[in-house]
Amino acid sequence: MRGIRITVCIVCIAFMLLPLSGCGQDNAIPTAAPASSEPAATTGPAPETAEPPATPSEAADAPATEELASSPESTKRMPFILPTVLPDEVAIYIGNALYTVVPFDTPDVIIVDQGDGRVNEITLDGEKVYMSHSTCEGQDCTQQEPITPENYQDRLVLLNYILCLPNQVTVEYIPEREE
Amino acid sequence: MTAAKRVAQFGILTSLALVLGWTERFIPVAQGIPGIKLGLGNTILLYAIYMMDAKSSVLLMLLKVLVTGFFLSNIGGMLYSLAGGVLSLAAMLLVKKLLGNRLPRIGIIIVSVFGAVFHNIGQLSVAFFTVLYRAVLVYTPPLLVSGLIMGVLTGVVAKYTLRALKYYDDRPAKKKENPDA
Repeated sequence: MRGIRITVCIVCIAFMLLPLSGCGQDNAIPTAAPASSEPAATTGPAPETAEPPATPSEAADAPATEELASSPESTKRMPFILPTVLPDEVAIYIGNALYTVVPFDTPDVIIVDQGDGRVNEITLDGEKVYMSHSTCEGQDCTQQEPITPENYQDRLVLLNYILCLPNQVTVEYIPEREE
Repeated sequence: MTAAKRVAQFGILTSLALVLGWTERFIPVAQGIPGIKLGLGNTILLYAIYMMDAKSSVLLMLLKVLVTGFFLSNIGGMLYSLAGGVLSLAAMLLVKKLLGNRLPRIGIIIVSVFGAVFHNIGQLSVAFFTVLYRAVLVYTPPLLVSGLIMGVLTGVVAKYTLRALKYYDDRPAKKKENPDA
């Protein structure tokens, strides 16, 4: 009997504390938000806010006003930490060792020469990345579908990777992500 | 079986494995994805397991790896092929022994499926140490499923091939008996 009473008491106290703790969280958001929103606005969404001044001068006013309207909301939702969005990148590996990481949206041709006759050429044209040339025999890697930001989740079998097994070269598409 | 006949048999089977491996390139199953293929070369090993003995099948597998490696790929490819071959042959021999005389109709298909799946496991384990392991992990489930499907197909091919071969093996024996009689 005594045990039951104690457990009932504990449960009651827990229920009483539950809304209190919830309130504490709710209160914390508005108090913390004004303090953190100002410095965050200068650092966090800097690449995004840099664009609107340019766009209204060209043509569209509506998108700019929309962004202005939506930006306070986004600061409310993320009061403490505004995550910095890292752009999508392409990482190239030889075996398990990282060879290089390049930004996805800058057109580039990367030549991976391993010095023993094994050469791979990876092309980025700003929209997709693919193996444009390889010295391997099967040429499977050059036939693998180019990776784009749209298809990397449902691309045939290899998803966000391009694999050249004979030359041991792997191309990995790293999508846009929050830090 | 005389030594000459045995040599001829190995020669024919090895060259057949080579030709099947080469022909497979023209049957696109998954374009550009290494490892997803029909695996018709496995029918040769199935023939060896069912019509010859375990020792011959091991020898044939090694011959197949060597010859296919020399003609169709390189040293690296040979390593993949050897790992796949050893593991798949071990699995097939074991499954055949475990099955014994049970399931006579689909026994060879089950053996073939195990062979195909373990062939892919062998190749994946080599890939795991040579290329980016994360990519290999992504690649593992589809490759095992493909092994399952292709194993069934190869098993069916092998089943009917063996049935036909047994038929032709029996026929000349009867013909030989007739002139004597």
